[in-house]
Amino acid sequence: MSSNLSNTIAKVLSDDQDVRDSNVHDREFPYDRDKEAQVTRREFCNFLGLTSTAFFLGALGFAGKSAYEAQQIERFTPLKIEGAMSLENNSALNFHYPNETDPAILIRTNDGNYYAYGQKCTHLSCPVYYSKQSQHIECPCHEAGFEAKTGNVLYGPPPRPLDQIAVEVKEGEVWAVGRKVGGHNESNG
Amino acid sequence: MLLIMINLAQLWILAATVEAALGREYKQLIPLVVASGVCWLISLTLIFWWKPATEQNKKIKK
Repeated sequence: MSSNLSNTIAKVLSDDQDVRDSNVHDREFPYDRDKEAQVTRREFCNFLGLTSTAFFLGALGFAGKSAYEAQQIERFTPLKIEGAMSLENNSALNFHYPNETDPAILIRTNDGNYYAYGQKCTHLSCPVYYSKQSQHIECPCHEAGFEAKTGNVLYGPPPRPLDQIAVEVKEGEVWAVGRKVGGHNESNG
Repeated sequence: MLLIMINLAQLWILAATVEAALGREYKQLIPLVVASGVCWLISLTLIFWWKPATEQNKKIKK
């Protein structure tokens, strides 16, 4: 029994060895790996040309999409921010505006005024928080800071201010009434 | 080499375009797209009309 098994194993192994040695596959599907790995100058130039075309079309697409969105008038539904009136000075609370998927932060500064911003950092979309000690909005991911009253970048890598949310105090309640994408640093958001 | 540099420039321009689009900086979009288009035209020019110097020398010698 054991001798049969060992014979079978030997046969299978020898068959396998035969297949490997026969180079049948190489004959039927000739493939020179070293030759295929070489890229000719023409192929490389064509690749760079295609990349250049893709970059140009990408820039054109982004510009077109942005221009299209600029023509759309955004309408925002006013939203009462719950718990805002009981917010102490130099503190903040989180809410969502205009949709449930858009996190926002409401800040009440030391002078009692309200300021609201989108909570996504303009660098890599980390959630920002209000630091009572520094009285700045800070991003923990890359140590960025934003001014609490304007949303402008104070330090760190973000390229533009935080998105501003317009707030109004009506009849003792704080309402979010609009949202604007952060623009130039100089324009106070 | 020039093609690689043009590609790098276009990559940089594309990044700036994306940033301008996200920041709604509409005035910067047109110059960026034009710059990318110029780079693209230069690369097309190089690919279709540039010939290696050695071939040109051979023709001149003939």
